[in-house]
Amino acid sequence: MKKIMGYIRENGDVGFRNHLLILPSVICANRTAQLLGQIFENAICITHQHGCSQGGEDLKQTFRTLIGVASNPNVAAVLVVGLGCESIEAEDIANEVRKTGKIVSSLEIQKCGGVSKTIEQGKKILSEMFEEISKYKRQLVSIDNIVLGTECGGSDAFSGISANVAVGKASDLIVENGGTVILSETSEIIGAEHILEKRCINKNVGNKLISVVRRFEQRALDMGTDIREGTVVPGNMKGGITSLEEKSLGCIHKGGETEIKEVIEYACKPLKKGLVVMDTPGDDVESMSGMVAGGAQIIVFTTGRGTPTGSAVVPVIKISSNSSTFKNMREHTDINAGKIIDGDSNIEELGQEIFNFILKVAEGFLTKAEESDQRDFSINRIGPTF
Amino acid sequence: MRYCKINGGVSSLDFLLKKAIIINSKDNVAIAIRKLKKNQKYDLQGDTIIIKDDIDPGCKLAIKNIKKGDMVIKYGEIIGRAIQDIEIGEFVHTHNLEGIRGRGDKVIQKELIK
Repeated sequence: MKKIMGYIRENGDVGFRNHLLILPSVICANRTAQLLGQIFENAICITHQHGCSQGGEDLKQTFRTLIGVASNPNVAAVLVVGLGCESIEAEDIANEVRKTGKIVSSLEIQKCGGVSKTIEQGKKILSEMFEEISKYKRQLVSIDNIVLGTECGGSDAFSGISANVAVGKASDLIVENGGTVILSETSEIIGAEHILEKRCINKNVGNKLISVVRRFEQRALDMGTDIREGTVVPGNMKGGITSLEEKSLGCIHKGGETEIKEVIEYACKPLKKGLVVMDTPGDDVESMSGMVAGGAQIIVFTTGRGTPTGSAVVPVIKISSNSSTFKNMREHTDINAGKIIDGDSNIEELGQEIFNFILKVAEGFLTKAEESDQRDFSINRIGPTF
Repeated sequence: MRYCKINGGVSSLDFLLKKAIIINSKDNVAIAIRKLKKNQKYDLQGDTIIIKDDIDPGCKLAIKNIKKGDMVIKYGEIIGRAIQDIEIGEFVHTHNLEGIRGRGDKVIQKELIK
């Protein structure tokens, strides 16, 4: 089995980055976390709008996502910052993340006696954490440890014949080498679910896939809205995509052609190796955050129109579907699948190129999104704010 | 002729002088690779096809006559229904093709009638 260099974590998970993370447990702690991030540039600070005034499955999903992102194997140590009176307490997140064996600490603004005092304590904690994780070194690991997330954003009609198909080839290579690939974006399975259903490993998995797609479509109908307003957006149409099913039929190529081993909920960790489907929305950042919380260490992201989007703690490899977008959005794009359209490459060749690039990125090569410090994070909500 | 695996089967990526692609042999639309100009003529698998509209890269053109109500096929799969007759060489987009799935608008209309 091919081997690459990665970080072996306490629980045996393998990471491909060695990040120090500052995570607010609730919106009220965002500013404090950001101030800490500004002082301590070696750390990554992510913010979000949630953590309180939520309930039921929605609260559980937010909690699971926060724990998941902090538990991601690319993260070496975490400081969770809370306010002190919120639904999701900083120490509750910290306790869950501690189970991975990584270095975790938490602070509450009310307990510290204000933002300034929290920052003073936080600086000290982060310095100690940074000193400790700087000692971590990469070791040889098998490539079957890779959990690859797949995403597409700003699709055009070329996405389904160049970038997504080539990513599908790379996905097949990851699976062939014993790794895991996550196909996401349920809204972009609508109209193509019959193809994926046939590829599910058994009837139960197939039924789960269909029920997840129906639930998604129903959620929009329950709102009395037309799901296409938010799925087939003007940029897609300008790029030549007419209908939701046309968009979906192009999107599903990212997962390649292997059988689907399981269908999992948003921000859950895949239990099986091989190709899995995660129920995420089409919103790029929410979808990627779900996969990151599920343990993906690398994401491949295809785009027709081009986008600067990245992800909090995971390298995102951006692949354009056409050469004109590659030129226009060069500073954000790593690979040009437009070469297939131009006749300068083919699916097999480009699939192999993407696969090789994934391994290079795993070993530390920075993606365009990382170079520009594009650390996007957002949590998918399934209920109202109270 | 190039080949590309789509949906588990081998489908032809047939380049009309590198101007358009037909993804699957069942398809009744092709995708323009380069800008296609109205009245230009191309050879389509032995037949001559006259382009009826200016068509931008990425957009679809009919490669078979499609009747109103017929299914429009791309990737060898249904992408929607023709809402008017479409002739070979015509631009195919939202003006003559509508999706079938995710039609919240139809449900909303029904609710309003109630």
